[in-house]
Amino acid sequence: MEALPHRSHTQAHSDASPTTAPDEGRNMQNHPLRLDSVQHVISPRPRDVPARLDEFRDMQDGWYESWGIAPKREGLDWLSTAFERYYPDDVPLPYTYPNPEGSVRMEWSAGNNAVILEINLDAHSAEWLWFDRDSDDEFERTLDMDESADWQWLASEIRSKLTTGNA
Amino acid sequence: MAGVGNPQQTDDRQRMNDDTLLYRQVHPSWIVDGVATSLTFLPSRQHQYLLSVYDGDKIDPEAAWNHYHGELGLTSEGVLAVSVAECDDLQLPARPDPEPFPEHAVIDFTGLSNSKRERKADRLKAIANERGWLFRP
Repeated sequence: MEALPHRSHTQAHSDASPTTAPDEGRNMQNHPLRLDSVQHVISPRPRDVPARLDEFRDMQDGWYESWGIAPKREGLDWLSTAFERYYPDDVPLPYTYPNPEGSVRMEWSAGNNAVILEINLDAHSAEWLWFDRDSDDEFERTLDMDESADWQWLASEIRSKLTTGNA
Repeated sequence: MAGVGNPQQTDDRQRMNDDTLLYRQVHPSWIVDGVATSLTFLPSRQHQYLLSVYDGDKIDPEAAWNHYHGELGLTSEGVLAVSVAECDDLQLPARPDPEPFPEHAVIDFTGLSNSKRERKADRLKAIANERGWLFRP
């Protein structure tokens, strides 16, 4: 079973921010080089969610194949705060990615269990998908990410499905 | 980057075979711990659920990266690949689509539910990550 990191009480999120070069120019996409510098740094704690969200803050529209929608900063601020507030310390951390459609995607995986959470930063909602890679078992649900009850449900599902490797 | 079907599709399809590798460019923000996310193989609604790839019979990985980065001006950390046979195993048709440029092809996810798209993208990701990077600059 894959060993998933947990968030520690002493973990400081801001110190995981990648080193960013000064804005020294622009790359071939006419984007500030700082963007490329951010993206090419290996995060010291890649599953530190607020730190990952910080990495997305300087993304601009067109970041992906000239059409990708940048996640809105206020949305990233909201999600970072909500995650800090509601996500229990004992629950395995996700990998976090920007989606070209402007949302933030979190992924968890352990054994045959996969969980994907697509978070709409405008609506403060999320689409939850769990599936068993070895069967047709799956479950989808829409979550209100402003509701602590939905965060609790999410945490409970992650605990049950990914810490034992069982559905 | 996805285009429409090619009237010479049948002839072109004959040049792709089970062993043909289909290259995907990977955005740097989609790599954590050296592993690419399934977003790499998830088609977008923006492109009618047709996933753009490079036809490995017509271009090698480094040249594909150079085209993507140099000529198209797009950002890629490197090249991963799945084969036509691996797509067929997942009931994902792959076909040439030379309208944007001659080496362009697509993997067709049309008609699938969200969960099926995600499952297949997850499987393609695993296959590609297992194969390893074909090119990194």
